[in-house]
Amino acid sequence: MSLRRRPQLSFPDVASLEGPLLEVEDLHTSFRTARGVVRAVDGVSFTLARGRTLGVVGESGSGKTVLGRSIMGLLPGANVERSGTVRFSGHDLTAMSLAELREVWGMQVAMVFQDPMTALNPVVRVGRQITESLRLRAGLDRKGAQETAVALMQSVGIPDPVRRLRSYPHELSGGMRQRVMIAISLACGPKLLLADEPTTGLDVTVQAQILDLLATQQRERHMGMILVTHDLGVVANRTDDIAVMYAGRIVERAPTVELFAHTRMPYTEALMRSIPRIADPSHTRLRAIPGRPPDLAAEAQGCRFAPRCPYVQDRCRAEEPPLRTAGQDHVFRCWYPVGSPEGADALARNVTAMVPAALAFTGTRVRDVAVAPDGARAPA
Amino acid sequence: MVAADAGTESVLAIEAIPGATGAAPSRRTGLGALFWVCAGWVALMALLAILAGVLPLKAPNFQDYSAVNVGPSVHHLLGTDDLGRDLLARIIYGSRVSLVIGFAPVAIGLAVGGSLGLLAGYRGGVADSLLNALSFVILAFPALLAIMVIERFWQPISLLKLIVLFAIVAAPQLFRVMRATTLSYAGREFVVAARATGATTRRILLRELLPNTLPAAASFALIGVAIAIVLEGALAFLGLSVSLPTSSLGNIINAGVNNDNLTLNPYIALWPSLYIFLLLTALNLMADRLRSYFDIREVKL
Repeated sequence: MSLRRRPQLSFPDVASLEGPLLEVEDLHTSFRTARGVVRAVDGVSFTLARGRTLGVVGESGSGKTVLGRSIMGLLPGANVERSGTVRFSGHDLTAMSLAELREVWGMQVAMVFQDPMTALNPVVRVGRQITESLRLRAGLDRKGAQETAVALMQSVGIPDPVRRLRSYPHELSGGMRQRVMIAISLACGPKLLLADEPTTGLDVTVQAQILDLLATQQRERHMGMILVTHDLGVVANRTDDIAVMYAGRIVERAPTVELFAHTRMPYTEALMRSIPRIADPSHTRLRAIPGRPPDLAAEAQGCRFAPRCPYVQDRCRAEEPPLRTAGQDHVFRCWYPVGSPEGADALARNVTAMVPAALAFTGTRVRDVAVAPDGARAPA
Repeated sequence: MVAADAGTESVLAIEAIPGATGAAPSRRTGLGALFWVCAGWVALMALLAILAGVLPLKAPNFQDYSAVNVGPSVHHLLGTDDLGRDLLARIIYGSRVSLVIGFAPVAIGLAVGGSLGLLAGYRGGVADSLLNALSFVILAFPALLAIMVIERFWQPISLLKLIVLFAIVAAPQLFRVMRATTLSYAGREFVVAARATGATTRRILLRELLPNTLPAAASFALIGVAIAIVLEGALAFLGLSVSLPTSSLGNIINAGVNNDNLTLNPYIALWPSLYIFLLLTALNLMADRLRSYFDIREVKL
């Protein structure tokens, strides 16, 4: 294997890199299934500067995991179509051969997987899972790899690393396993880390530890990071930018502070409102978003959030809104954005018309609308 | 009480102090004594067969007409047969055929069928479908009958030919076991994770998948060995294995039940039958233990 010529790719040092670390342009990924073509990622574009963190938020089935894998090129071979470009450090990953991609994977771009239970090989000791890529990819000898592994384990906060290296994955707790996962992904010093729901399977206290660990490592190594999650709370104070995904598309993207301060997209607003707040009185009903995400195999017409949107108007069902700009780096897809006069009008009209999503959203009861004294239906 | 307290304390200490060298995780229960007894038995039999030439055994084909059909004695530990041949020597030499026929084809089948199964299970595609179809075709023939028919047209029967025929029967079965287990692991996330660190296909197959799939195949292979030994016994019994006077367990049993030997001297048939019984029991127990040992992992999670 060592005789096989490795493809020569030059990656500029992080420090000397000009331009963004990652540019994703009009990325489409679809799966051919028995039910039809499922467009899991449908025209996603964004850029990520080095040392920055992008949070990708969306509910299950919004295409965020597929987005991560599409960026890396880690898709199952058959029945998948991908188009668009993914430029990493100026190299187009979509145009690379498998051999070239292997040089990128692990060394340049690494991934932390959702479930450390399944992402670690159950019958291989943790130590070998870490040292393997160190030896094969980074070219360290046995001793060097062992020492680096111990240092890595220490840096991800695993006590007694020498002993832990000899453990099998099932001998570790969920949090420990995720730390090992992170250590493996960091082993070869990647410049971009894709974390795909790294805390989903963990309990809340461990979640915070893992997220802090990722943030620390990202800062220290000056990596770019994409943090994929379904929990807006997770990315709220740990990311520079947030992209909200719905049905395979980015529906709103903004710097984190801007997104929370001036939310434009009704879906983002609904997501924020669905986070339970500690200040709420007890037994407050969770404001779930009614309905389900759309079937990605179905033909799309209009805005894909329309069936669940409290602001929905006829135009939304007929015409899909383009990405509109609102201030610095803030884009969204909506005809009647939150916080705009049109948006407020649309919501008021919907409450009057007793659109269920709007009633649920505003907490208006049907009675209040129906018994308006002048006969016209108006909100009380 | 004091001792108990000290114990609790040290457990807590391991948890609390980073870098404390506590006891290694105490999960290793091992394969158990029974497995090793069985393995020892199989190893002993193999050793006897290999060393038959240098052991102080009588010549297996020497006919001592002064000692026909004698029972077990100091001169003939297991007695002699109806032609005055030493049964111990004949069984040990005969076991060479049985063991070679048992292990060699399964080893070949594991190497060929197993590696093809690993590759087919991971890669899928047209090659996988074709291999799968081929394995079905071979498996559709009753093994014993197929071997007998082929032997009819491939005279004279030799050990090598038997090994080839048995391997052809064993390979598709091991292919299917390996392919099935590989399929169940190939979609797991740790394979994707390995790809994400830039692992080559070869490394994924050998380092990620094989350690997971080999136990099932190995356990199946052990049963395969047992089946092959029985199959050879059956063929030898029908006179379709290696030709006389070369002894094999099957043809000793055959001789033992012919010509009223079963009533005159039941030892002739008894010893080789006992040999096969013990060997097969050992192999089956080993296979069973191996299978459950590697299954526990899933349960314990």
